[in-house]
Amino acid sequence: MIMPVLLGRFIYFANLYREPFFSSNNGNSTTLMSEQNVRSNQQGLEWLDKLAISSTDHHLNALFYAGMLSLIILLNFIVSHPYFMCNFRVGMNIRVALTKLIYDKSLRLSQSAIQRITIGKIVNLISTDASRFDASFMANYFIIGGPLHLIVAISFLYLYIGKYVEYVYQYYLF
Amino acid sequence: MIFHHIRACFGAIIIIFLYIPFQGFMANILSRFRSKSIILTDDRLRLMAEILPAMRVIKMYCWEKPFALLVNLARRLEIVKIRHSMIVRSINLAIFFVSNKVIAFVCFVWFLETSDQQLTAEIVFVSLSLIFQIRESMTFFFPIGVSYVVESYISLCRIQVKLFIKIPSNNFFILIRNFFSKKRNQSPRN
Repeated sequence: MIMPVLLGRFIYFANLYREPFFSSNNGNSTTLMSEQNVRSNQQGLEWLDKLAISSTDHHLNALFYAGMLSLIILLNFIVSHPYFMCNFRVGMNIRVALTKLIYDKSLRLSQSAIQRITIGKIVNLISTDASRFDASFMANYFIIGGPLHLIVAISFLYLYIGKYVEYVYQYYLF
Repeated sequence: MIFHHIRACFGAIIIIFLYIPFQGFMANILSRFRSKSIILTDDRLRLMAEILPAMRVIKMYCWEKPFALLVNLARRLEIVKIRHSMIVRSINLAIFFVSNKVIAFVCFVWFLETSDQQLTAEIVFVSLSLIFQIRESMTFFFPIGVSYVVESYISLCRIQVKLFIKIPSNNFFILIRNFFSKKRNQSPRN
């Protein structure tokens, strides 16, 4: 969830850095990328400016956030692939344990149960039912983690596009 | 006009929260299809297990074609159920591919209607990547997790019912002994 925020900081400081070139080329202050427009989108995000390494050099800040973004993406790949591999391993262990359980039980079946359960049913239990487990552990985290991701992402979306201004409301009222 | 009191990011929340009960509904349908198709798979496997040892008799009496029709019928009934569950899954997948664009569209239109600020590159890119992460976790992994949990629960129930539940004996003394024994909460040993 930190990646979009770093990307936004990078674009913000890159815009601030590129601002003098645009205003000098066009000669007027009503261009789309005027500094007032860039800053007016930052209401509620001032606390993010404290994390920047320099208060005056926007170029350095933009480079810093671009480097942090690349590092975090690299870290994401380094962490997430062993995580998925461990989940697959846990699922495979559970599948093997379940297969062993079915095998042990099928050796100890009584005479009445042998008439009830055919070999096909046991093979079906091992082949279809036990194989459900090796892939299921990849996605089990997201039953709890998905709503958590949603909460964090919505709180950042609220900071970015959750603003509205009074006079728009009055304009529609009359 | 009520929309002007609500912030733009609630478009995403509304769509996602419309999506979660829909997921529960879909998982319910999926579990129903799966429990039906598993019964048909059992029937087909039982049929094949009976036909294969008796192949010599079938060959001797030239019963190949009726038995082939029987196997075909069992396979077709199973495939109908599998196709229904695949249709439900493809609906999930289609919603996953569309949801990113729908959420972004609703959020940006809502933002442009309610705010006087400009839609700068920063807002667009941050919102799009946040929406992408919401989509990845909520509309792809969350339904997969729900469906896998439902399916593995059904599988565990089947294994328990087939192998580990003792059928009550007709013998009265064995019933009494099982009822008063201290080990009756443990798994029965046949």
